[in-house]
Amino acid sequence: MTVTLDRPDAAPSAGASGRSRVVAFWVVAVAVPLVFLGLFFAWPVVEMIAKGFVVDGHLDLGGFADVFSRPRTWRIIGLTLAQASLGTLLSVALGVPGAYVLYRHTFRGRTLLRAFVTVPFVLPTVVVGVAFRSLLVSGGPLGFLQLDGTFAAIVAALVFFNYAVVVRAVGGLWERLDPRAEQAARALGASPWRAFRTVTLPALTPAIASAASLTFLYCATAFGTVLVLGGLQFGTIETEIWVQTTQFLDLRAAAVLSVVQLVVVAGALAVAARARSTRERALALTLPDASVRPLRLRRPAGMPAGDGHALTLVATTVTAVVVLLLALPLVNLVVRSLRTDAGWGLDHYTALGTTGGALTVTVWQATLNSLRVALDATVIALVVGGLVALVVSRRPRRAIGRRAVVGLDALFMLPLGVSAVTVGFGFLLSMHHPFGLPVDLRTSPVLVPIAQAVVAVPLVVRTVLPVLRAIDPRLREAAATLGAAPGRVLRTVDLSIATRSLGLAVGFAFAASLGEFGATSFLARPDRPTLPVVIFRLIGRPGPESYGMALAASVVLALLTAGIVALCERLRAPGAGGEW
Amino acid sequence: MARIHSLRVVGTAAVVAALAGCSAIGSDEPSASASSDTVTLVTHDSFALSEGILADFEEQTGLTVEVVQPGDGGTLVNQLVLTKDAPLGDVVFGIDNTFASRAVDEGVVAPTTTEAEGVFEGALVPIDYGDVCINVDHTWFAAHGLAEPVTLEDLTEPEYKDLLVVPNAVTSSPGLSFLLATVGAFGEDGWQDYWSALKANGLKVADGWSDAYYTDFSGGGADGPRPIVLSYASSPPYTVPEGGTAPTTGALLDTCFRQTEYAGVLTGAANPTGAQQLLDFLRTDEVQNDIPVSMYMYPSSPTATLPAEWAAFAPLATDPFEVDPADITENREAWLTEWSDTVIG
Amino acid sequence: MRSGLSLRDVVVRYGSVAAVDGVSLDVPTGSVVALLGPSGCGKSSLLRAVAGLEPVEGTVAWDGISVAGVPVHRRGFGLMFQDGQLFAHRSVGGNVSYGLPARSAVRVAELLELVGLAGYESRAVATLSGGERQRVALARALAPAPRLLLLDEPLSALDRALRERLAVDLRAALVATGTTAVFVTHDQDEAFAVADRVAVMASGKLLQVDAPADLWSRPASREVASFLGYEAFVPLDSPAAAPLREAIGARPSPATLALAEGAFVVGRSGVAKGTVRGVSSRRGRSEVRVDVDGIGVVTALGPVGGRWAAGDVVELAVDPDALAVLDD
Repeated sequence: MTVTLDRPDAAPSAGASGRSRVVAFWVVAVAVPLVFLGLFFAWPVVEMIAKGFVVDGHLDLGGFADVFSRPRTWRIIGLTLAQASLGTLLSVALGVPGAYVLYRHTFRGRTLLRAFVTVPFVLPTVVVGVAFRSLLVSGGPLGFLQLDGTFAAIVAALVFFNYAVVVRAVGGLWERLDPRAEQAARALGASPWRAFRTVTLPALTPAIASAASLTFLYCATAFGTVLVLGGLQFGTIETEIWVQTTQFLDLRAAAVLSVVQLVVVAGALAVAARARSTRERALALTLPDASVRPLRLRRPAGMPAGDGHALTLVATTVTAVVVLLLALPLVNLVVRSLRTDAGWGLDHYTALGTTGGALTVTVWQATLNSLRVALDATVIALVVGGLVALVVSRRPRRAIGRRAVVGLDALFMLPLGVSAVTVGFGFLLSMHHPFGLPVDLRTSPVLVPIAQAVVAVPLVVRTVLPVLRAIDPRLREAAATLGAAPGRVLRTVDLSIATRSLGLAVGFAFAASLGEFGATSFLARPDRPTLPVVIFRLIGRPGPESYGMALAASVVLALLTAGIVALCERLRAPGAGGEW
Repeated sequence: MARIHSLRVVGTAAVVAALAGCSAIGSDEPSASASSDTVTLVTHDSFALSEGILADFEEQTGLTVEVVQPGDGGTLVNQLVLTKDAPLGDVVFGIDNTFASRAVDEGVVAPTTTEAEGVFEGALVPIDYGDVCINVDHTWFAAHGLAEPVTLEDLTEPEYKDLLVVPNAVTSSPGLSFLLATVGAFGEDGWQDYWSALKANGLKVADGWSDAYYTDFSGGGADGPRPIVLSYASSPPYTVPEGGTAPTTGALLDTCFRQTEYAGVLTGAANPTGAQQLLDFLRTDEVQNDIPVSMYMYPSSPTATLPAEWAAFAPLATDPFEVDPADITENREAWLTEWSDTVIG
Repeated sequence: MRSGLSLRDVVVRYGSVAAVDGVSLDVPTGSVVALLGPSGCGKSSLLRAVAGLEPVEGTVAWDGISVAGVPVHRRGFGLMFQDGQLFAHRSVGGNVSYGLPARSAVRVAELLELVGLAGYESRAVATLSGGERQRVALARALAPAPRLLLLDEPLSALDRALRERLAVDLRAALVATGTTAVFVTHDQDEAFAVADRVAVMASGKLLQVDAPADLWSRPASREVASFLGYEAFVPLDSPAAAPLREAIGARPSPATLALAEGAFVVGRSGVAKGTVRGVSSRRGRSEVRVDVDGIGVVTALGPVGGRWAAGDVVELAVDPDALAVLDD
């Protein structure tokens, strides 16, 4: 047969305009996130810290000597590092078996369980604090452990919050890891444990490092958890900044501590980046179906003893115990929300339709407010985080470019590691007529979703980035040689593939901003309270009705979050895992 | 496969569509701060008035009220100090007597024309007040056949060992009030020994009021382990059981510190006239009568009326402990540090 | 003005290493050139440089006009990868239509028919076999009617039988569409099956460019000859070369004679003798490793069903088609 191909005369004149459009795009892609971060994070933070170091127009670093000479400072730094390290270590130790069970096996209710373990991560600390403490308090269900007010209780709570981070990050990679490398090791005479240790674990290192760094940041800046469960005797840098700023207005001490916190966080990020980069290489990935097996508690017929079934059993047992422990505070929350004056009932839930006598809105209206704010925050976080992921996923030819990309990656993790108080107070200092614009952003409702987006951006980046990085660069080259201009390559290859992980990114950004109560609580919020704010107000009032409503509202928040995460999990295309 | 994909697309589209109409930014009317027909009230998280009250004010004056709430009590004053060159609004409500002196010293509030008893330094107008007192669980003491404590000193007696829980003085404003009560009771040099004795007697320090009241306290509805808690004089009415006639808890009126909440016109207010109007409005009977209902505090105005159950179950201390606000401002940090060292260790 | 692709002194560097070191080559319109060479010789780098995927020194021109300033997507040069690089998130039809200016179902169907996959439009890429994927990749690469199609070892990931069949189909498709093509491979059979001319490359340099038959009969150097499969080399004037000289009618000279596999044929009578070292079988024919005095161990062909044991001395005849005299 003959096929006639009308060969178009390709225009050799490249068009300098085409190239400059490409350059312009990347400039914008770098500039938009940088401007956003600079404006809504760096500027407020610098302004706030500068306030502590500049006295009467002169730089005064005497605060360092002063603060470091207090023994309390060193104790606090030590406690911060100890809490964060232990919390991270335990989260990883428990999360890796969890990832194995939840992502490497199939069983009934797996999707539900995956969504369930995510719920603690997005619950407001004020709620978790109450649910957690009422378990541990003497006379409570776990009172016999005598953990109330101990260091162990804080670490347990940190693990409670961050377990999901590790499970998702590691599981997302593990389910796509080609099992044949491990099988090869087994055939070379390695025991199941040795094969795991020498082949699988190294392959999982980038995901583990990434999860550990996220967890460390969350642990090092944990605020409500530490205060509610341990009080100030286990104060961390974060709680100390809060005390110095909001109670004593000692901005000098707060500034010094903020710098210390930045150093700790930057150190943690550097360690994680190193661990990632020494391990990060193209991994042999498959579709999840290829590596996922049904979960069996009994050794399958034909499988000899010593063939790894024991490992599966251990992992399953550990995970089952962890899930039970995660469930305890949550179940406790639900049970208590159902307890009424007259016994049991849905009275507190019925009351959510009212203002409870003292709120300015009903809880349902607050829920709607929350959803609206979270929607805006999600859109902002997606745009900014998406661009960051896109830029960071490139591998520039020149070393300086590669370093810049790594730096950009770390830069956008910082918001997780800087005190919400510093950011929140910094907003008040910097957002009055920013750049001489005739808007007072401090009291504008626009600032609330922006503040939440700043915290959600790292989650979006960490979800989308690995997917973009996993795209074979030759796929883009193939598209280009087929005549696709850079814009079209971006749209039809990068965006098209990344979209599969966007569902998950949306879910997390949304859930994180639904539960955000750090920086938000220091903003001059207009009187349109969100759900966490309403819960905080309800729980701060005497009377069993208010308390019951607060618990019921918390259950609603938990369900809402779990629902959104579960939905996004369903929308996620198979194998489009993301780092977490 | 294609069908699953299209289901996904439809699902995503449905979610996006459902939410698209709900943007918070998109649905906002432009904020009209700095305009002369708007007055902005800066207040703390617990501020609330029953529906329609602020609307009445708007109707009477033709002004629009905007409320911004940047944080809780102590945080609020510090935020105002930091932003005094470009204030967040026109009026502030919610500065209490533990922070009043700092607010005035830092020049956050401007002199007021409101005439009322107890105006602080000519700038801060008292709006409401309440007593922070030790509360006891009557039911628990009856069940254990133990006599209830009456005074602060009683709390250090061995029979009350391991029974008291108080909120942290550093992180909670009622906690600070109780510390001040002990300063008032035992003097600037005597309170430390008292706290040492409390600690030796099994004192429990919780993070915040809600934590102490709902988790540790046995009478807070959650069956915590401790029957003595630091709370408010106004707490007992909320523990009247359904169908009952008397509360199951009571306040010890010899252990109280009085907290007064003030309002004032902010220095540099864009609308000082409107600010003063709103300030006066907060002292009208309409607002004052609503305060017990919506903010759980006693109205400062002598002409206001109290809800019936308050009169019956929430009597105020006749002689609460007092500390001079200037002393508080001067010594806050030192006292709190000392308190931390003594109690937390 | 030359028509088609012309390369002048092309250099591609990775850091300080020159992967391609001063290559000049012409590919006239409508012809297919194979770039043949061992792994790492720079042939893929050269291909990527032509496509515009690597920065390049020297001149890459089409119809005499340099394409230096033209970005990849405007060069009108198609590229087909070793592993296809199909878009897994698009269907077969979606892949093929990707490079078409307008999505035309008719055109997609035509192209799929051309590569023997009629009716595959709505199939998911994940359901295809390796051979099918490469066919789709070919159809996709042909769809925008590139001025030049660059094929980077498109068949080497496939098994032998499939590779040989696809090589024929590939040639047919290129000829049917009149496509100018550069085809990179390390397999000389494949190069000879697909290309009009073969360019042999080693260590970043072009060694020889010729039509397959000329290349085979007159390899320019021992290096080229080795790569084409010549396995033994003897001076034309050595005593051991006498029967070989006779077979091709050459005079003794200091030139080198190259022997490909099958230069000797095991028979009942012959012009030389060799000692059997080992025997293997390929497609029924025996390949006998024989040690010939003065030449060394070479591969001789034996008739079907022949039986030899190591140590046997056998008679060898000469096949002149498997001999070449080198110029140097």
